[in-house]
Amino acid sequence: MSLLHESVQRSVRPALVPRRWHWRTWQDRVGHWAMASLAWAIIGLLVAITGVLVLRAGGLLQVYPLSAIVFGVQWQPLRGTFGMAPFFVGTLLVTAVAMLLAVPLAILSGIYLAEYTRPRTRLLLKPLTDLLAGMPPVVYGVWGVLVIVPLVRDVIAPISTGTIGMLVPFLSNPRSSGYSVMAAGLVLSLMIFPIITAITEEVLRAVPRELREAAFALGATRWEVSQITAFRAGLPGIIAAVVLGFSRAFGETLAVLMVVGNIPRIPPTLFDGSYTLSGLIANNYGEMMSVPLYERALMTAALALLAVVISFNVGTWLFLTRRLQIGGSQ
Amino acid sequence: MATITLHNFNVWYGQQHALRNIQLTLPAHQITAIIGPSGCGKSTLLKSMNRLLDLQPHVRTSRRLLLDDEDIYAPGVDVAAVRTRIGMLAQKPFPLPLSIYDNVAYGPRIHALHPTHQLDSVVQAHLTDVRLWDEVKDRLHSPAHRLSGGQQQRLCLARALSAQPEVLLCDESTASLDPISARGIEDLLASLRSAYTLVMVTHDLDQARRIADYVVFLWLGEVIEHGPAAAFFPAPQHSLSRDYLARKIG
Repeated sequence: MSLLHESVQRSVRPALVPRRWHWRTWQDRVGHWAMASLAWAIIGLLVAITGVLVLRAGGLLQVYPLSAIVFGVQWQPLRGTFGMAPFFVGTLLVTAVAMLLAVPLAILSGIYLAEYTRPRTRLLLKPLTDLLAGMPPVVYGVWGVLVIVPLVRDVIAPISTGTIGMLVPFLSNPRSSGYSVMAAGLVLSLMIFPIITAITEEVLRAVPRELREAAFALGATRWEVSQITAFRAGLPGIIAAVVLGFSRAFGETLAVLMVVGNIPRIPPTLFDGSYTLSGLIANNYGEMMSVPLYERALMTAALALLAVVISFNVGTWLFLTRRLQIGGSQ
Repeated sequence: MATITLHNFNVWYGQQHALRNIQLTLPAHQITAIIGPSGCGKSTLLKSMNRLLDLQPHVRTSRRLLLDDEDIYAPGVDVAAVRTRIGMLAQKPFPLPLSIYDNVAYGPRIHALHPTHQLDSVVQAHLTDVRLWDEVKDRLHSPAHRLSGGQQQRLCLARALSAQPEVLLCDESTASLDPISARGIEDLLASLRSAYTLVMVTHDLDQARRIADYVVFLWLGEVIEHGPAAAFFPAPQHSLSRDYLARKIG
């Protein structure tokens, strides 16, 4: 018997306005509320973290002017001076070195993975990249102490001092211990490299195949096609990857404090030791808490860290949404 | 000239034998329509002619596919050069994420076809040829993806032609468009035959009847029948072709 017969028997005929909800409706409603409250709880978490930091930091700004905290170069808690400039400068320098080294190379290697590899090569390289992206920071830190620090001390610092250091004093230090901004920047760049590579690859793989074919069909080389996919179609995604790398680098604590030397002063050269905001908090919170205002100073440092990461993310988001509205890409 | 000849040409996707012993000569400066039911290998045949097939994983080909007397699958062949001489218009319009102007200028720029100061007039000429110039002349530098579907496909045609191909492959290039835009593209393609060798895949038998000079009928990866359209449509020789034209199969 055909199912397309005129008088098909319908076994269930749902009322358009049900008298009571069916369990499937309940399932949907409950699921909706459960998932919605979880998603919104994340925003609550951000508010809670910021709130606690503001409460615990509160007051430091009443005792000292903001300029004394941000631009002060003396960090001497026992004498009651909390100048954080060395930590700001250390954090920014370490992050800048890491980004300068990692970003261009990581994007190129992401392009290689997405646009150039044969399926079999990618099958080998992609899981390794993901593995590196997920490696615990302490592993990078230990490896940094064992390999990068001696490398900076014995090879990079002497070479730089003897060549470009002759012109740029900031790159010249004949007596580097290796524990330095340079070592921390190198370790960090190795950490964020696989992250940016992996995301760049994902972004480029999401570019429609037809777009790639359109460029190839015009006789474009792989590099010309990559320029279209990476620097046009995939640019917002790649910017997002860079921002994620930046946030990771800026806030990274353990791997950096193992190799940066932890010296609270503005480093005279790239091959001198420095100190980062996150390292300051991690090394000192819970100790010397009897010193007046000490906890507030550490919380202020945490707040500053949070503020920079949030503003960088929001800034990028604004830039990307504006750019998409203007319509620079598809 | 610009004749495409296939000698015993085969394509495999992994274990699947997608095209079997294709033996064809596609006449220069005519429109060849490749017809056949879905999945018969029409698009595979078309994409093997500009080696876009290479982008698919696990593809193998054998024997020869000649542009005039050069095998485009021979070792040492520059794939980019093949695709420069054998252009393509895809099924769906896919403007590059650039401005209207830069889309048309893309081919001339990467192949350095013209001195820079002539580029404006080259772009204008190609946009005029595809009857898009009047619609876009005031917004040449706005993003191409803001155009309508029909306009985008005309832009893609201008972009393909500005790279100065000898052969133009069209993969159901009117199938995703509204009827009026589709007819516009079809008329444009029909007008190109004096200057280009056109090879089109189409599902639309009426379209094939209207503009094709030569017809290739594919069935399950094999050429069942091929010949001049004037002979094929009124009197197909093979029973499968007769059934397909009568819309009994496919």
